[in-house]
Amino acid sequence: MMLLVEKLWKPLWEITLNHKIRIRKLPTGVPGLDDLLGGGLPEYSFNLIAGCPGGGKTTLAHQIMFTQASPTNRVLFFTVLGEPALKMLRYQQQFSFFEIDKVNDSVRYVNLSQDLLQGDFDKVLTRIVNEVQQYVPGLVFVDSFRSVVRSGKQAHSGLSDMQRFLQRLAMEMTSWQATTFLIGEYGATEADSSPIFTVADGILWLTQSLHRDTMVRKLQVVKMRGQSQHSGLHTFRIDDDGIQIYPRAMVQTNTIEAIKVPGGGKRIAMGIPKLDEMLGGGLPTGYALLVVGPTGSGKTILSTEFLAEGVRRGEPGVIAAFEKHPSQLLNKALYTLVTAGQVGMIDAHSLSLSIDETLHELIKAIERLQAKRVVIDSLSGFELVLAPEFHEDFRSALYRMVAVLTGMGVTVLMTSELEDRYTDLRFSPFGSAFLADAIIVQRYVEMEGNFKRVLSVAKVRGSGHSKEIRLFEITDDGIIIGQPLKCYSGILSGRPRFDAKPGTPMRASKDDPS
Amino acid sequence: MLKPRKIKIFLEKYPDEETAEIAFSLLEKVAAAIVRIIGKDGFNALYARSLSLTAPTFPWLAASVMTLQDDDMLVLIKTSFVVQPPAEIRAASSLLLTTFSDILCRLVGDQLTARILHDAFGGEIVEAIMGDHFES
Repeated sequence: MMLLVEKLWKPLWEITLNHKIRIRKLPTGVPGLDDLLGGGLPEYSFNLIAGCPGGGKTTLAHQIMFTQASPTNRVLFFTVLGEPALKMLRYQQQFSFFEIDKVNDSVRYVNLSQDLLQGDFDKVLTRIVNEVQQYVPGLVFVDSFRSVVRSGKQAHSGLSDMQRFLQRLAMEMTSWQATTFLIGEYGATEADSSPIFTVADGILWLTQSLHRDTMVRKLQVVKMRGQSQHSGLHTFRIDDDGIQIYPRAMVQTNTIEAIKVPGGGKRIAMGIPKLDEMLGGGLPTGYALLVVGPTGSGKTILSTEFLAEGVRRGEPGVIAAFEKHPSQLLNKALYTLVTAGQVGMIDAHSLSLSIDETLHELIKAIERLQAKRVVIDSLSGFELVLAPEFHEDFRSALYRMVAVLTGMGVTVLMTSELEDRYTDLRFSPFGSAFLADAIIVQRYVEMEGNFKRVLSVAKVRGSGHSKEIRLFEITDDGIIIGQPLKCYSGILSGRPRFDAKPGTPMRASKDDPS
Repeated sequence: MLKPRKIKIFLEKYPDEETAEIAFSLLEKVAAAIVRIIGKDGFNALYARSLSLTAPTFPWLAASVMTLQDDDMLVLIKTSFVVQPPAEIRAASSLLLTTFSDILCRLVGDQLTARILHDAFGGEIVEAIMGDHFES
């Protein structure tokens, strides 16, 4: 008999011990936020959405609420003394996520202002619990929780009363299996003193900062118990569809290293005769190529050839054009490629935010077109359209962006305008040459009383390449690379000296032997 | 949204001696639904404006307007109803409710107002005074 009991009991015992609780993660419906949270919001968690006035707290709460609300997962939204509920309803329904059919069906608004008049925490708690008992919601929001706190202070409730109220509220809501959000205006200095920051399982902090004439919104997941959230500040926008977050690009070094095996892997054709030879047999796939040169030297033409060659070979491309508006598209060839849908174009002028937002748009276009080639034209224009706040961080953000793109296996061509100085040799005004795997330099030189264009391959990481400086011309058929200037020295000074036998041809032509 | 004619027809279904009570119950239902969502202060503000706009047509309502801050505004109107003839109560309450719903429509839109009023009145009353398609 004893043995039988043991046999029956043991499996049950093991089952009980071996099965840890798996916390369900709720999708927020806020693009980018689930990734930051580590997969979504932990079910039954007790959260704080904090930040400055106008930071987007109520909008974030509504977006999460309408995403989650359904007849089987109802939501109670308590409004207090903050923004008048009538105005909140008026403004929130402007967002596309606001589904009026859910109001009073799976979403119920309850105003607590009368219960707060005496500032009695117990009364407020009783009202909240009663409503929760009656409606049995899956999610509960209290907006603004700060009003509850202030009301308590006015009624001389102490910090300990507040702490006790919070702990009881958190316990009640967890017992009723409701994922809860308290929404409040808090400054960074209050984070250390308010008990809410200790009690909360998760804290989402929304900020907005003004730098010169631009305002940048950022979100930080300060805390999210039980899961690994992305740290740091992440930019976000609020538009007609609500909040869209652009998580800060993270470099996955293992992926990048796997792709960039020096001397190995596939190479892609540039679409310009002789340039592939100069690069040592084409540009290695997944490389970032920097094309530098002064204005008018042919960087955009070279980029266009690169994209057109991709189209010819079934390798779609995407261009982020920062130099000109799409309506005055760069050149006829590129215009044709873009309008035919063979090359995707990011309207970078409308972004004015962060490199991460640009990256987000690029990744969307890459995934949509299954693109293999990306052009960023140019880094100089890119810096100009960024909000000033991001200028200081331009190099590192650019590094992360390029690493993410090349990590996806796409080959990136970036152009950079560089004033010809002839006294020094620079590859980028931003010191960004370090992030390029390959560099092509274009320059003007004076020869026979004319401006001539020359180019050279300065670097191809892990690969042999031509060290020659060659003349090139821009014709209706594209870029024509000419002979190497073997008989000249001092070319980079802008005034080459002819120091070989006379009669050496200098003209670039299609038929020139290399 | 709400049509005075429909509300009047609805009220006419009841005996004269019940008119004040039924008209008041309609206002109470709306008040309960609105107070729950936007609070008593919010309701009072909307209700006071509705009274102000209705009072020129029914001057006896002006007495209620004079005590806007009173928490018992609804009780006040009930007292006013009792001393009025049934036809006057029907006409005044119809206009008051219609004005109130029109103000709400302009602030939060037809759709949301329709949902709130639909839940406030419920069942038979909705059919009688709002119709199946919540005429706007």
